[in-house]
Amino acid sequence: MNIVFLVHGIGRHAKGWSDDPVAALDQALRLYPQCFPAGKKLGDYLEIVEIRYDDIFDLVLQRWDELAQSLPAPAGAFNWTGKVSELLQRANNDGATFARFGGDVLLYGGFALVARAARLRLNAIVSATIFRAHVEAIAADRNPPKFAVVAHSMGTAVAQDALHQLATGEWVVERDEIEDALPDLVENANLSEQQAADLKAVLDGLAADETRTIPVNLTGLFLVSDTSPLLHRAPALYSELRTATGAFDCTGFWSINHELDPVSRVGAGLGGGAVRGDKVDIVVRHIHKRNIHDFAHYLSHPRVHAAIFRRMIPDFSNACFQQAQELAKRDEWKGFGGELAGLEAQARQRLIDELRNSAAAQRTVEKLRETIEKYFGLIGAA
Amino acid sequence: MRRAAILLAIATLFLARANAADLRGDEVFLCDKRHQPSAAVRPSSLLLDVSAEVASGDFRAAYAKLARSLESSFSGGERAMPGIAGFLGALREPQTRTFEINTAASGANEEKLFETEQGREITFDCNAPVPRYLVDVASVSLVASKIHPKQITPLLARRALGVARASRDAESLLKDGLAMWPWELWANGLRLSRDDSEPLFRTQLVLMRPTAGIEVDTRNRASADLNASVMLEPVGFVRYRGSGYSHWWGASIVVTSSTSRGAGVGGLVRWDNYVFGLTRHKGEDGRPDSNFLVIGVELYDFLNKKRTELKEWDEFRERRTEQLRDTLRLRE
Repeated sequence: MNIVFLVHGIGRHAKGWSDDPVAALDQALRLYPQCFPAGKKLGDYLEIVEIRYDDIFDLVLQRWDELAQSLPAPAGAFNWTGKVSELLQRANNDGATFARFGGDVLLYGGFALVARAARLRLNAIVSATIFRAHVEAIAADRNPPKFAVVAHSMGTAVAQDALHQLATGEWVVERDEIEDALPDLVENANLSEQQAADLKAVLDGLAADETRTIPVNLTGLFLVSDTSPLLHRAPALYSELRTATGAFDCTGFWSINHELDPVSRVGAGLGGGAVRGDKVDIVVRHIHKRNIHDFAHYLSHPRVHAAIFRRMIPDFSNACFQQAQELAKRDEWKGFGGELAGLEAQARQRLIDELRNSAAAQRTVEKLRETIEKYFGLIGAA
Repeated sequence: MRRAAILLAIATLFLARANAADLRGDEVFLCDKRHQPSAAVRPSSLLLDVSAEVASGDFRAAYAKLARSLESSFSGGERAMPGIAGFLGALREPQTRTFEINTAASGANEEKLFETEQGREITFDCNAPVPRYLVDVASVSLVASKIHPKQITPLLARRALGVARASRDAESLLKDGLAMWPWELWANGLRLSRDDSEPLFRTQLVLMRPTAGIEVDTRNRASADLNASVMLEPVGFVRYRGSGYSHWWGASIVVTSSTSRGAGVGGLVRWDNYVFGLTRHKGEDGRPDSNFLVIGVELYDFLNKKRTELKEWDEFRERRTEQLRDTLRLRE
């Protein structure tokens, strides 16, 4: 079973945040009964790995709050410590408001230590999962699974940065260190006793290897509401990275955006994005709820989920892929539908105008923050 | 009716089977169909043939054997067909490449091997029957994919460990380390390497850091001079001890202005959350200069707790002594 990592974007994301996008994909399966028999779930075809880094931002806000609370009011006319405390406490107490005001973007874009922790969280999960899947493949005497990352919004920048680091960093520790660290590694990767024994046998049987950098070799990188051109911090995008053989480290790359989504319109940056010729651009136009930036709203579109299914689920045949392309031509997938299907013409036009106007003209990090604030003000939710 | 439904379900499952290449026993599943490779490159034979090399970890030799088997399966001008020379070359120089066959990213009805490697890409056109030599290429490619985990897993283990350690350190610094004010967090971030695989720093800068503390006049320890105040550390550092980021020592320059004796300048040292220092206050109105002890709130709390414990112990001891005396008096 192939493995898909889901990476969240701006806003609050508790454990289990991926339930919504997975539910959207579960619903999408039902559109293709000739490929997916009734009653089947996404989990029957793909292993979904949820990646969450939001708690790192929460931790930083909480520590700032603690610092602020530790200060007594100074003597004098202006209680500056009180003002600082108030600001930092407000940020921590109302995380949703902080996110709505684009706080996540500022934390990731402005604080290298926070960005590093977020990247490493993603890489720790990805590398442990890839390793575990290979051990399982050896134990079961089968080919290893393929891996894809589907990232949303600010998560597209985190994913690009993190994967670039994973593919270019000298991560491979000395061979003799493995012996001592094996119990930790087995626990981190959640290996069974048998898998741990298999791994030990493989490690024992091999000669020393001087390789320190290994490619990630993603089969698919799907960037949904792509902000990575503007927000990425790595010197280059992972999607553009080539291995020693000259091949792209990531063999398939999709940039998926909504024509009206203010976040990705500003996040697209000033043309500093991907240049590889085989990049697949998907632009959707459906408006099935007010929050068109929502991850699940994107995934519900046939062109979007079909690209993921086709690449990662062997059962999704070419015939089903073609069916999805036909579905995408229907009016409901080119404009209003879903919970907004009954919206009257005037209200439709007003929403379109508001969405168009909420994107800032300049493509800078500060303008993206302003856009996020304006957008969440418009749709009235985080 | 029921039988028809079962047949329909079986037919549906059959029609919907994979379009991505895979091994099905000794057959190759490619472009939605099962294909029989040539005898020379039958998957089970290939795996048996390279088993000794794989077991001994000599993957280069194993891949080279696969290349030889594939070459022997070609007839006529097949060796000169597009991509074949590149594929054979890749088998002889496998490095860390994967040999997976993917559906085309473009959405076209084709599958691809080395799809982004210029000059090596092999396309399986699924709109036409797949030629035998390409089935053989797919067979060898899928066998190579099956061997690949054994080659790469030790490296993946070592990489996973390296990343897990770096991740643990990065989060431990934020969670357990000396909490950083926003500007300190920003300034310390500037010192990071651009490469996450480089170890995280063990020395943290302290910059314009407000700290709550208490100043005690060394000349006059009256309670009036025991003021809770905000001290400012313009510059300093902490050095982390042990393996994680939970313990540290450090030193800073400190400026205070909260006592009745005007501004003071001095230094402080840090041991975990405990802060202790000395400041010098200039004498005013004919009064001499004074030295003040600076005690961080945590240390003050700690000392106070100890003092309370001591006081409670003294009271307890006095009570017990009194009880003992009473008992003795009664006996008399």
